[in-house]
Order: sequence, then C-alpha cells, then structure tokens
Amino acid sequence: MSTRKIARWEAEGLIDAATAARLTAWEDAHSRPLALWATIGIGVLAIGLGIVSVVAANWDAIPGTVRLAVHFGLLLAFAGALWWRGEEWSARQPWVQDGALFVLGLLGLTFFGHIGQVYQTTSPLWQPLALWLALFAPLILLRGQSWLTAALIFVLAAMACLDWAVWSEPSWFGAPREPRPAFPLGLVAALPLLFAPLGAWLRERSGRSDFWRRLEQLARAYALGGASLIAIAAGIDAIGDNNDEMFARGALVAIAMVGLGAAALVAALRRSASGRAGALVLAASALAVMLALVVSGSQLGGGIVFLALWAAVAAAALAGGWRRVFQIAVGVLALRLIILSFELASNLLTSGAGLILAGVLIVGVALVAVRVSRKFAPVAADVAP
Amino acid sequence: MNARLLLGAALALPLAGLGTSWAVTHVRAQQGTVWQVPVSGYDPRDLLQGHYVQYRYDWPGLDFTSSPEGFYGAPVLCLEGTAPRIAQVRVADGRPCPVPVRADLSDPGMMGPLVGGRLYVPQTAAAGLEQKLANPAQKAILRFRLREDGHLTPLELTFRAKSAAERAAEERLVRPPEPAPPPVRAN
Repeated sequence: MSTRKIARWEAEGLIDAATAARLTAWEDAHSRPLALWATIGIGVLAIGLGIVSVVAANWDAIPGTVRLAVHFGLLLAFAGALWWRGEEWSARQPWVQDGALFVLGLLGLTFFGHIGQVYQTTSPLWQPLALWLALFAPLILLRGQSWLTAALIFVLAAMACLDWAVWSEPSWFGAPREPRPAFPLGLVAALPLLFAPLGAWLRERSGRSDFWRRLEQLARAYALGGASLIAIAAGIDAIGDNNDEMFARGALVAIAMVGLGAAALVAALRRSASGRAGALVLAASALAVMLALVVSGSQLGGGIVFLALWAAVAAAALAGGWRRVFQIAVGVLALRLIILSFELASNLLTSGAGLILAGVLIVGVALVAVRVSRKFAPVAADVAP
Repeated sequence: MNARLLLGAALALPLAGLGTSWAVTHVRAQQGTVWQVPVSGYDPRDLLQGHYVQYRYDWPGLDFTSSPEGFYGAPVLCLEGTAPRIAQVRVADGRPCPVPVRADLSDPGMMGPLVGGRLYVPQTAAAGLEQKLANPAQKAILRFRLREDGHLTPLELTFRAKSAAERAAEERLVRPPEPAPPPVRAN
C-alpha cells in the first residue's frame, strides 16, 4: 500500500502525525515486493508452458509405458499428498484438499483414455466412466467438501447413466439391431436422481453439509431439466412403443417411478419447509413425465405440461423460501408462455398487425412477470435450498 | 485412527484399480499372433478422421461387394493360413473355425464390422501416411495382432510397391477390357 494515502489522511486531519509515522513504519516493514513476485510468476508460467509444450511435441517419441508410468506416478503423488496432509487441509484449507481431490479424479479419468491410446483399445464411454465411479466414488463421498467435487462425481455419474441408456446404441447403416427393452433404460437414466435422498439424508448428519447439499441440488436440477426436455419433446413428437428410443413408454414410466420414490424419500428424510419443497420439485418432475406420456404429440398439451411443471417449481420455491429459484421459475414461465403463443398462432408473425400484437404480448408478459417476481418472491432467507 | 484407515483404504482403491486395469490391458496386448492383411484407403478425399486413419480391409479370397451381406460385413470371419500370411478368408458359417476374427461391436465406426477399420496415428506421421495411402503405386499392409478370442488390434501400417501383376489386376477391375467388335460378315 503506498504511503501516499497515509500522507493524504494526515493532511486531511483524519490521523495525527504520530499515527502517520507508525503506519508508515509498519508498511515499510511489511511491504511485499509485488513487482518481484509478478516477474517471478511470469518466469514460472513460462517454464510450465514450456514443459507442457515439450511433452506434447514429443508425445509420440516417449514410449507408451514410460508415459503411463509417469501418469501413474502423478496419481501416486496426489494420493500420497492427500494421505499425509488430508486432515490438516480439511481443517484449515478445505479448498486445497478439494482441489487435490478434483485433480486426482481427473488424473484417474484420463488414465483410462491414456491406456486406450497406448494399447489401441476402444470401449463405449460408459465403461470407463462406470469403472471410474466404482473406484473413486468412495474417496470423493468420504472426503469431498465443496461444489467442485460434488459436481465432478454427479456429472460423471449422469454421463455414465445417460451414455448407457441413450447414447451408445451400436448401429451401422441398415443392419438390424436388436431393440433393448425400454424399462431398464429408463431406470438407469433416472439413477442419478437417487443422489437427492442421499444428499438429504447425510446433509444434517455429516460435517460436510455443503457437499451433500450440492449433490441434492444437482439431482433436483437433473430431474427438472430432464422433465422439461421430455415435456418439450412430447409437444413435438408422439411417444410410442418404439423400444429403440429413449422416449419410449416403458422408459418414461420407469423414470417417473424413480422420481416419485426419490421425492418420497426426501420428504421423509428432511422434515423442514425447505425439505418438503425439494420433494415437491422431484414429485412435480415425475408427474410431468407421466403427463407427457398422456398428452404426447399435442403441441398445446406439451406446453401445458411444461407450464404446470414450472408453476409447481414456483410454488415449491414459495413454500421453501428460495428467492432465486422463484425468480428463475417465473422467468421460465414467462418465456414459455411467449413461445407457446407463437407456436399456436404462428401466423401472427406474418402480418404487421400480428407483429404489433406479438410485441404487446411479450412486453405485457415480461412486465407481469417482473411485478409478480418482486412482489411475491420470498425474502432472501437464510434457508439454503 | 479409524478415520485415517478409512481414508487410506479409499485412496488405495482407485490406485489398485487403475494399476490392475493397466496390467490386465498390458498382458492381453501381448497375447495373440501377428498377421498381415492388405488394406486400401477408404475415402481418397478424406483418409484421416481426427487422429485416425480409416482403411478398408482387402481380405484375400473374400469379396464383400458380391456377397449378400454386402456393405454390412459379417460378425465373424475365418482366417486360413500360417501367421503372418493369410492364405484365404471366409465368412464363418458354422464350420469349425480355428482362427476366428470377431467384429468389435462396441466400436462400429463408419463401415460395417470387419469391412474397415481405423488406426490411431500421431500427428507428425499422419500427413506422410495419408500421402502413401493415396499413392496408387504403393500397397498398404496392416500388421495386426489377433487374440485367441478373435479380438483384432491394429499395430501399424507398412507400405511396399505394388508388383506389375497387382497393378494389372486393378486396372482390369477399373476398366474392363472392351468387348471385341462383332465380326464383320462379308455379304
């Protein structure tokens, strides 16, 4: 901190000369050579980039086993650091421990890809992801402390489930594939929802409540996002019994069942207003999926199911005292109303009068949404969603 | 102490799992015999797909284009010959097959199973390989390792100049000999 400010305060009469002298002396004694640190920092960055560049350029010249050994050595190093300093970090610097956990997880994930590159093996995405979950989940669930590790484990679990259920369907042009039964696909796709009751259960019983809260939030976001997508898809295309597709009847029934089960568990485990609100969001998502089955193929039906789902989310936010979620829900409702009106009366856009009407509608809906949002939103409470 | 043991176990689990995965992959990669099969470029305009070179197998004695499976390939083929030379390849059809080649259904790629394949190539070698594959005077040979269970792992692409007989055979495929003109009958 420059001593100019101290001189100015003294000049303004805020501090007297003795205090000014003491402050200046203290600052001189504790000054940090920022310019020096910046220069050294640039040098270190250059060295780091140079190392990465040299390794990348000679990647193929380095024998595969050597590369894998170095990779495994890095894994050992991070695991060792977590073993020796883990307790100390989790007490005083939890971010460092979480960062180390995150890097360890990513190193493990890339190790599978690295093996595949060296030995020319391939496998569908869900296999290494499922193996990664089996190996790393105990560690992360035992020691994760923040949103970083919660997001890591949830996203990889969701990707593994979705890849098995939806994305990796072996096919090549024209050759017949055997259709997979739809019910297990839906069950597997809905598995990440089970993080919600898990998070709800452990959030009050563990010292790392932030981690479990994030997991529960992520599971709810997954449920809401998935149900919204299904509602939109139901408006576009009829859901049939075609067992080749994700949106087959059996799959949706399975998803709804898991969703309702998760909601019931969350309601039983967290008997607070916030807990009940969370359960309501899950239940509304499950019911929206069931309704999407009923109204599939109808544009208006799909739109109504979507609006009903997000109205339920807004109600849950009111009940649970979640200000931001309420505002987001109102915004989404307004947006969907506008889009729905355009879908139903698409010839509005083809005439000048129609455009004026559309503009008035948009402005009207937006204004109402803002007023509702401001007037009814719960006060920013200390209840965490 | 209990918490520390638990942490130790949780840390040891992924390390043990990854190490085992590496060891198992390494051992399986050493098994099997090495064979050679001629290949040709799949799409002359775009032989590279990302980091992979795509090629089409020219199994000796097997012509997919004339068989009913046609483009789709077959799930199992039978190799005949002594490693590394393949004498003959046929589609597995119930007869005993001592050297099977099984399609990898988890990685279908652009072509039917066992019709084509792809090889991971480093960036620096990619351009040279593409050029050689596109060169009509060079024949590409793929060395691959075949495990007992039929799993095929491509190892490397080598090139040799085509012999005159091979080039003549290819010319005949591309340009069939013109039919002889009908005899002029003197009337």
